[in-house]
Amino acid sequence: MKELLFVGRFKRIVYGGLVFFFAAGVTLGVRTAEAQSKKPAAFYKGKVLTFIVPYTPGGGYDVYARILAPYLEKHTGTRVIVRNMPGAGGMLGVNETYNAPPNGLTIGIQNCVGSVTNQLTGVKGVRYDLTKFSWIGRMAINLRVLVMRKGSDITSIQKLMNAKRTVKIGATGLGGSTYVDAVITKKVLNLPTEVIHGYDSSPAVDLGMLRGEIEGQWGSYSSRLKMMKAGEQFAILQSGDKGKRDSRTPDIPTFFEVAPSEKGKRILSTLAGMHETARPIAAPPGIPQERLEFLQQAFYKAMHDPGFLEKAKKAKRPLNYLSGEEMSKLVKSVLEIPEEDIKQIFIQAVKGSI
Amino acid sequence: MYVVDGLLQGFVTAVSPELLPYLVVGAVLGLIIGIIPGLSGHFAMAMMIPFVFRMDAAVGVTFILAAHAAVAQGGGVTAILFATPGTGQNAATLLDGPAMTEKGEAGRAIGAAMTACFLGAFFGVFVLTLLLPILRRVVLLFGPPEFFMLAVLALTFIAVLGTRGNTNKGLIAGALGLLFSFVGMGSVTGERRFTFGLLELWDGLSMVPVLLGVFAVSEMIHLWIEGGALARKATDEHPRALQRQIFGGLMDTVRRWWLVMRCSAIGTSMGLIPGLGSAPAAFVAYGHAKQTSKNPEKFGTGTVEGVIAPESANDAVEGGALASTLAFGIPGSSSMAILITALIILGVEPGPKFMVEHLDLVFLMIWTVVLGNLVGTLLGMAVANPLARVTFLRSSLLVPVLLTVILTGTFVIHSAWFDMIVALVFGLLGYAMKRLDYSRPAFIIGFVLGLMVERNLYLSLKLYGSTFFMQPLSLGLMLLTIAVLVYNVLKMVKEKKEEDSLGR
Repeated sequence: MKELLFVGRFKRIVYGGLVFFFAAGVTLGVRTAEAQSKKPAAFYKGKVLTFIVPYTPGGGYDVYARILAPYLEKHTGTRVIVRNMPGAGGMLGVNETYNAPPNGLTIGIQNCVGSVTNQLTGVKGVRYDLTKFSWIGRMAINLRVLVMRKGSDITSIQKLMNAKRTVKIGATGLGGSTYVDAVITKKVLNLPTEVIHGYDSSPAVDLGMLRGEIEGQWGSYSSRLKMMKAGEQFAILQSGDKGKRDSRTPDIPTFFEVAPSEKGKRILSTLAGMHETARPIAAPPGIPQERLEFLQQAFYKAMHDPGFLEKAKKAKRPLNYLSGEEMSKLVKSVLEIPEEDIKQIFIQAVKGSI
Repeated sequence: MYVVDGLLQGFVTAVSPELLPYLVVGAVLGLIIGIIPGLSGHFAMAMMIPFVFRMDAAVGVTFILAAHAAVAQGGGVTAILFATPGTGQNAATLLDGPAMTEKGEAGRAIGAAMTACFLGAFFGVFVLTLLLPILRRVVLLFGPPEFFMLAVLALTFIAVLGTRGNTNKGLIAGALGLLFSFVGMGSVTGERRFTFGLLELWDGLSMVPVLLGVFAVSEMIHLWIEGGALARKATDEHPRALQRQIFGGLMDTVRRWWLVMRCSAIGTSMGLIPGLGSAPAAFVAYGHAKQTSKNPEKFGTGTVEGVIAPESANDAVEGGALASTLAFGIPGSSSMAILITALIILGVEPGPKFMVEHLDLVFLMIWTVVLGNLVGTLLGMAVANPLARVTFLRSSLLVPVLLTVILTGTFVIHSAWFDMIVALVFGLLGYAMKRLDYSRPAFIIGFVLGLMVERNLYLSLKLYGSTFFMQPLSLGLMLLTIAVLVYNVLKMVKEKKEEDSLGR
C-alpha cells in the first residue's frame, strides 16, 4: 500500500515538473521575443532589476546600494531588488553578476580592489574577466590613509621611515586591503614596520590601537574619520587621488611623494589605481548596447539626483562619480602591469609571503 | 549622580508620546522577525535602515533598537513551540524547550523564557549603566589574550554537555564542531581549508544554516519518523490553562533569580568579545546551569532551568555588545555595526566622544533595550496562546510547512541555495547525533568558538609573545578555566566510583 502511494506521488512530481518547465519555457520564449523588439525605456518599464551586493546586509557596500536603489528605480522605471550574495570575500557575488543572463536586468556593485587583486594574482575560483564587464559607472573611490594612535611619537611619515624601532601595524585578514596596503608600502618605502594581521575587522584593530598593542593601521579615509575627529588617531600618509593629494586631506603627503625610486612609484601607482576603481557597478558582459547606454544614463541621473546626494551626505558616504566608459578604461589600465616582478610583488602580498 | 539624572531623563523621553509608538511598533516588527526562523535581529535592523532617513535621531534609535531588542523573544517562542530556533541566538533553547512542549508544558516554558529574556536584558543594561563612568577602561581591559582565555573557558563546557557517563561522546562532538569551524579561508594563514574547490565554502560555514540544520531540520526528521504531534500531552486545551501555565513559568524564573543573574553575567561578559554574537553565550550558560544543577540528568528532558539559562544569557549579551559601541563607537557585533550606520544617517556621529556628546541618547538606548524587551516579553506571552494550538496538529501536516519555512529562512539571509544544502546536510548529521546520543550543544560550542580561539591565540602570541597569559585578567581567567576543569574531572571520578560501588 505504502509503495503504491509512493509511486503515485512520484508520478505527480514528474508530471508537475514537466508542466512547470513547459510553462517556464513558454514564458522565457515570449520574454526574449518581446525584449528584442522594444526600445530600452519601454523594455525596462515595470521590470525587476536585480542589484547584487556581494556582502551581507548592513555593510558599506550594502548601504551604498540601498541608498542608490530608489533613485535607480526612479530613473529606469524598474523595481530594484537588492540581493545580498556574500561569499569568498565578495568574489561569489562578482562571479554571479558576471555570469548572469546578459539581458540588462542584473547589475552588481563590487569591491573592485578585491576583484582586481584576485584577477591579477590568478586566484582559483575567479570566474570573471574585469576587462569584459559592461561597466555602468563608479560610485566612489577609496581614499586610503595610514593612521597612527594618539600619543605615538611617529607623527609624520619621515619619522616612521627613520624610526629606530619596530612599529606594529594592525590588519584584518591576509590578502585584505588593510593588509595589502601595509605590506606593499612597507616593501616600497622600507618601513620598519611589523604587520600584524588576523584581526576580526578594522574596528577590532581600532580597539587594539586604543589598548596600545597596535600603533597604526591602513584604512579608508571615511572609516577613519570619526577616530581622527575625536583625536584618537591621526593620518600620516595617503594614497591620493590620481597621484595628487586628495582635496579632503591636503596636508598629508601621498605615498608617491616619499617613494625612493621610480620603480617604487610604479608599484604604488598600481596600488593607487586599484583604490581608484574601488566601488563600481557593472552588468554582465554582452548586454545589448542600447540597454547599457540606458543604464549608464540612468546611473548618471541617479548619482546626480538631489535627493540621492542628500541621502549620501547624511549617511556620510563620499561619492566620486565616474562614467562607465572611463571606468572600463581605468580597469584596463590597472590590469596592465608591464613588469612581471611588480606583478609578483602583488601576488606575494596577497598570499602573505612578503 | 549624573547617572540617576540621566536615567530619569531617558525614561521620560522613552515613554513620551513622540517616541513610545515607534518603540512599540519597532518591538512588534522585531518580534515578528524573531518568530520567522532564520531571520535575525541583524536582518531586522538592516531592513529598517531605509526608513530612518527622515527620522529624528531619538526616534530612529528607538525604532531600530526596539526591533533588535524584541527579536530574541520571538525566536524563543518559535524555539519552544516548533522545535525550530527563530534566530540563531535561541538555538540553545531547543535543548529543553520543545521537550517541555511535548510534555504539555508549553505555556510554562514560554512564560519562563520570556521572563528570563527580559530579566537578562535588564541585567545586561543595568551592569552597563553601573559601569558607564568607567566603561572605557573596562572595554580596554579586554584584548586578544582575554578573548582567547574567555573562549577557552567556554570550550571547557563541552565536557559538561555530554550526557552522563558519555563524556567521551561529548568530547567527540565538540571536536567535530571545532573541525567544522575551520572550514574556509584561515584568517591567519590565508590557506583555504576543507573547501573542496567550492567557492561557497571560502568564508566558512555560516552559523545560521548550521544551527538550523543541527537543531531544526533534524527535529523535523525525528518528528516525521516518530509521527504524532509536537505536543504529545494535550492535557488541557482550554486557553485559561495556558495562561495559568505562562504565569507559572514567570514565577519559576523569578524564583530562580540567582541562576538568572549568573547566566546573565555570562552573557554580558561574552558580549564583550567582538563578533561573537549571542548563540555561544546561550550554550555556555546552558552548560553552566547543567553543571551547577543538583539534577543535571534532567537537562535535555524538558527542565525549566534549561530554558531559563540560555534565554537570560542571550539577551544579556546586548549589554556587553553595547559597551564598546557606546564607549568608542566601535561595534561589538554585526547588529551594533548596523546600529552605528543608522546613527550616522541620523546625524549622530558615534565615535570615542559619543558618551560625552550624546549622553541623552545613551540613556535613551538603555531604556529602549529595557522597554523593547518588556514589550517583546508581554507580546510573546500573548501570541503564545494562538500559536500553541498549532502544536496539536499531527506532524504529517506540520512538518512540510515548518520545513519549508526553515529552509526559506536559511535561503533568505544570503540568497544562497548552498545554505539550504548546508542546512539539510547538517540536519542529517544532527539527527544522527540525536539518535546516537552525541551532544549537539557541545558540537555547536566547538563550531562557534573554533575560529575565535585560533585568531586570538595567534594575535596574542604575535603581540605579547609566549607569556601573553601572564597579564592579570587573562591569568585570572586561566586559573578559573583550570579550576572548572579540575572540578569536572574530580566530579567525574567520584561518580565513576559511586557507580562502581553500586555495581558490586
